[in-house]
Amino acid sequence: MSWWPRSWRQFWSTLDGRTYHMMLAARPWIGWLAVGTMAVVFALVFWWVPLEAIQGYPQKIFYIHVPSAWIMYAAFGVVFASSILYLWKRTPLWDIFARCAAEVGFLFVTLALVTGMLWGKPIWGTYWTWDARLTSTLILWFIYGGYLLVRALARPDADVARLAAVVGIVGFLDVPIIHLSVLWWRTLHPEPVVMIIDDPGGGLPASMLITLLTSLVAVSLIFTWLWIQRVWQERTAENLALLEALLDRRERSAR
Amino acid sequence: MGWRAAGAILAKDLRLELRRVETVGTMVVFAVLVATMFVFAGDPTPQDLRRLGPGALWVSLLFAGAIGFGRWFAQEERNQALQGLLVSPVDRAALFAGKWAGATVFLLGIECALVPVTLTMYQLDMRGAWGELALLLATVTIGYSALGTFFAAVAARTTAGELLLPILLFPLSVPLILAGAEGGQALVEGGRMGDYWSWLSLAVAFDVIFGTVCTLAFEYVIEE
Amino acid sequence: MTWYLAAYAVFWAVLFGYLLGVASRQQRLVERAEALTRRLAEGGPGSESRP
Repeated sequence: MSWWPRSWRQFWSTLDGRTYHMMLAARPWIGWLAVGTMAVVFALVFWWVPLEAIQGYPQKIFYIHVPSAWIMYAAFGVVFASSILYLWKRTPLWDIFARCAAEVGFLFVTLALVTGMLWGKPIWGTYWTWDARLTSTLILWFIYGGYLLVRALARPDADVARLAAVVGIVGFLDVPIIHLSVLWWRTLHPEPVVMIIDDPGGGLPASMLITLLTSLVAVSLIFTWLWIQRVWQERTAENLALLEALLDRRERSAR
Repeated sequence: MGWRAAGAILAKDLRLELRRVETVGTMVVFAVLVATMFVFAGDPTPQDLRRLGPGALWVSLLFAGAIGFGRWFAQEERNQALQGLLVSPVDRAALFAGKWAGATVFLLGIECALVPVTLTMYQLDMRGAWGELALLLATVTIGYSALGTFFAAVAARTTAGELLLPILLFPLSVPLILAGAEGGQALVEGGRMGDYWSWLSLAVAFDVIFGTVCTLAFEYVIEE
Repeated sequence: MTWYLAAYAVFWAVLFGYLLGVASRQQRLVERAEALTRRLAEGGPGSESRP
């Protein structure tokens, strides 16, 4: 078993390459599975799952809103782990993993916010309320927007990867504290009456739970596919840049 | 950790700032002005003022800090002073601790002027809870200075430095601002000491976590 | 009904928009790779001797 790492040391130092190759091998499977499960989700949401008694149609937004919110945490978890591994190992793949996960994760935070607002309007009567979850999602959006801005605006002489890794780590560590503080902030005050109902949680009927879980799988697959595709593109762009530089040098010396 | 090195950096920053006291003075004026502009955001009755007061105090400090941190770090970039510090045999953590302590002292100095003015303008009655107020102010300021110093170093490495600093700093400071505003509110309303202690302990936890994380991670920010 | 359809429409529009962006990046990468292949071919065997 030549692919089996001989030691922990070797395991960690080859983990990025191994992960990358596994991702590439799984990419077509993940892509087709994503399309398939999403078709199933469409069927379940549009024809199968019964209407919720109180909310009616708007409740169906739940099946894309909750998975988006779930994905954003998964994505920023990937950013956090990859950033730590980058600072430790300093191999470019870890930086690419973090960069692409942040980009696609930011897309899903935006989706979670927008679908949340479109759900809030018919149910709460307003697009936006300073409810604990909405507020902390908005702050998360700002944190990772800042992370992407650091990447975009880093000075040419600065080490972008290192800088971004540090921001990714500190930002992620702040998330649970922000959650806690925003929750306290909202619960110590009397809640306005715009919140007619709570999010459906524990007492979810089986049909809704099945639809939600299928959607969770489908959206996770979409996220993973997009992430792999972006990682592959970034890696390929780096390799191309290397080859171009090499070729430039060869042509200059041939002249 | 090099306590003496950190102390030397703090002393150097204080001496520099005392030589041009007008900068700190300008920042005090700026912070007070922000607190004043808040009143124009509505047509506040005395009750509104008392409800807004603690929040307005913290937002003014937030803005003053965001301007200050960038300046306090930028003075190290001038004439490559930072390179000088980096080649000196000073632990990176000590360097951060020195800058952090300096920022805390400056912010506390601004508060000395800002807090009495805000209390008067917003008609806040502290009900004798001066010790609790000072404790809250100090705790929140320490945490905010840690984050501010840290992200000033990050933002200095981007082309949009001064613009990017608040964008990075404000979202991450939300727990501190909530602790300051809500804890202050609990004091002003009186009889909500339980809430006050909850918010204070949140701010203390924040200080411990981010004081440690920023001190450890600073090395990676300024590494050349 | 409107809100629910609007949310799904926005969700898919945003995802497809992003996917289009990814596809256009892909297109640029392919073009770069093709240009590189052409340059390699034009370079000819004579210049291979020099690294």
